[in-house]
Amino acid sequence: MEKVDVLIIGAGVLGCFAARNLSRYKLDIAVLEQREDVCTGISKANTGIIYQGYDQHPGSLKASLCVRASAGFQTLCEELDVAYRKCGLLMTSFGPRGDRALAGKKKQGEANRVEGLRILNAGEVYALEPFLRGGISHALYAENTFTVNPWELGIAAFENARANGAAFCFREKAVNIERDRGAFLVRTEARTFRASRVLCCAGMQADRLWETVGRPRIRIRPLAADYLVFDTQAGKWLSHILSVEPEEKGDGITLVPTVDGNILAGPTRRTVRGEPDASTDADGLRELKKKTSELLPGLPMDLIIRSFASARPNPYALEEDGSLSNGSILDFEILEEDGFYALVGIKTPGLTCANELGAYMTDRIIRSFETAPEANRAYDPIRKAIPRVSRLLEEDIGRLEELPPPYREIICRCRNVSRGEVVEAIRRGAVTIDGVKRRTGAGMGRCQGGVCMEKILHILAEEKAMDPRQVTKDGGDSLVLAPSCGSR
Amino acid sequence: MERYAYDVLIIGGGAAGMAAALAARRRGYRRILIAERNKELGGVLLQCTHTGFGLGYYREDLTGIEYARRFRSLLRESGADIFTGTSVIRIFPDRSALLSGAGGVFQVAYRKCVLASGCREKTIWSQDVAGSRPAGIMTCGTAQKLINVDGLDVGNEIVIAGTGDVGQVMAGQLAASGVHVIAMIEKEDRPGGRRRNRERFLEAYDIPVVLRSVITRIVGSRRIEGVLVRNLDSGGETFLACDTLLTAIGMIPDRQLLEDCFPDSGVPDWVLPVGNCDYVHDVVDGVTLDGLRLETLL
Repeated sequence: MEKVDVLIIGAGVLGCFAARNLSRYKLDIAVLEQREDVCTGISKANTGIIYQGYDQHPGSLKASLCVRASAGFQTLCEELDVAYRKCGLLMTSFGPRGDRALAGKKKQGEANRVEGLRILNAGEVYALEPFLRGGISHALYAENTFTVNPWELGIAAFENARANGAAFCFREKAVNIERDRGAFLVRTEARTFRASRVLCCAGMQADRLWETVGRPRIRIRPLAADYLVFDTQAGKWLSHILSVEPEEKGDGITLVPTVDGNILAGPTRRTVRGEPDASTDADGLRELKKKTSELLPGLPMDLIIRSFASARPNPYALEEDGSLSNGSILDFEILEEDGFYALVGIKTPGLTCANELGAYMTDRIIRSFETAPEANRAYDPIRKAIPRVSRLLEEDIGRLEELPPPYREIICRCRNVSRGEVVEAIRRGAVTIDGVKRRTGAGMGRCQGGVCMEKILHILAEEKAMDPRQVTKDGGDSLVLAPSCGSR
Repeated sequence: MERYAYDVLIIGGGAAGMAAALAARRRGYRRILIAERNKELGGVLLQCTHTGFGLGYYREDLTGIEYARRFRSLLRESGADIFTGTSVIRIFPDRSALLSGAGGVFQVAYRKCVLASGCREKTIWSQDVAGSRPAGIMTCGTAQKLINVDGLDVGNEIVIAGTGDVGQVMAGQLAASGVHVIAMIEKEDRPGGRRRNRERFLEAYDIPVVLRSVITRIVGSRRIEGVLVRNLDSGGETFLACDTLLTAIGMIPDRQLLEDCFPDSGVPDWVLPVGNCDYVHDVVDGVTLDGLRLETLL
């Protein structure tokens, strides 16, 4: 039996940031992750927007965490060496209904003490975004809104937490939880952990895991979302995050200029029947294309290089009679019972608040101990990212010379990713093609791995001392080369 | 940072780049540099184990590998410096470029720049395809490299999207090696590619071609399990089970270096795109002739 002080279930962005914050204290921390790597679930697919907090109800936990997270975000990115883009967000309106909504958001933002919110008139909006369609009425400008690659943030937190002593256990799924004399026994297929504090960050499974120890209170209804990615050639069409407050009822659309210079369009919102998966929907993709071309009429649709989907947890309160509440729960809901904590149905602005939620939960957990744990004197908030050739090309070409020789061999030519980056990604924890992709950007360009996937397959096989036929795209049975094939 | 000076920088050492080096020498240029990102010259020819190369230029039926070797031996005449394992990662409007490779990171100044960076294959992700994003989906070019260069197999039950030449070559090669090619899916009312390839590969191996149809959905959670194929005339959809989806839906000239250097303006006359990065050629002999044509243009 493994005895730890705090057991975290789930190594998504929330679990990783919880581990990072808890590692400020002298605690034995273990993180259970059913998959082979961090951030493979909900955390890997979202818009990557770091919100300022105008969209949250004053007084809510979301509002306070979001505003604090936004204010501290640049510092966090500097500590963790994560790339971000300070692009600002324009929420546009097309008529009186939208204008009223913008004014309401601004007022709400000010009540939340969000600084620097401005309402822009049409002329000011077109000066910022000349390719935007005609007929804009106004925009709410949230200048300090950022974008990040969401997985980059989670991976950075993972590396930092691990460096500060948190143990990450991959391919270990919590299959059973039971109480044991003031503590919890959490069983995986391989072993049993005993912990007096358990923090469940298990995404879509968080409600089910909570119910192994606590009274059913929240149920997750998954929502699916589709996204489109445009090539970096489309980058010139957009420099701010654009969202639309529609005049008629219905969902708007969000267009995001990414850190790497692409445009991301999405999400759609669909309810999912049965088990959620990450399949895109034909109607959803059509809707995204239509709305994107309405908003940016000049943008060629043949610059689309990828579409993907994600499933997102939408939490509903479970009523006494066993029915679900009409609307989903608006605030972050944190369940707690006898040292078992569960983050159930954390959605927007979950990515923004990931570090703050980790700090908040750490605070609650630390206060729950009878004798407060000592501070971890060795704790270091600094993590260094893998050097990126593509980023040095933009920032400081001279420094390319300083990198070791493997960083000179370009593997992914769309994104200028070097062998050195791929090898380092593997040494830091990537075990799949997609794991390398998330850490380096290799395969995210317009040829979508057409050139580099084969090379990465061999580097993975070499680094991991395995047969190339065992390499997977994304863990489990996702073999790149179909099984039962032999060498000719 | 080291800086070298050349008369002509040739980006890419495939058929077009090699021909361009000869042309540059014949034109009278002395200092010529070929930068090739792979370990040897030849580009995509090096993964082509099938014949059909050189009928125009050499009047012989060679494999791609033979064609590359034969042309490589001609290169001595050019006196070009050849940097293999070296990528050009930027070109700049001041007629310089940044190169990265085994020899380090360095700059090259030049009078003329020949862009011979070839083409890329379109991916299925640029199409309207819904569904999951599992393993087992790749372009025919990637499959060709895995099979012919690495000696690996890609799958057992194969659907090919599109009927481009490289798709037909792969279909024939896979069928010849005993792999089940279930069907090729073509949106037009007749197969694409060249007639010679249709006869040699599609007809010789009885590869089923589903015309007027497109793939609309990918099914399978971890590894692909099948595709939904829609007939464009009837709108009817059919499920085809497979464990691998290869794509041969077209090629696009690869001019990313130019786009990065001249995002808004036209390309100046000192940059000359040749071969498949100018426009996609049917046969390699055409690429070679396009490169040699530079003797009068450079």
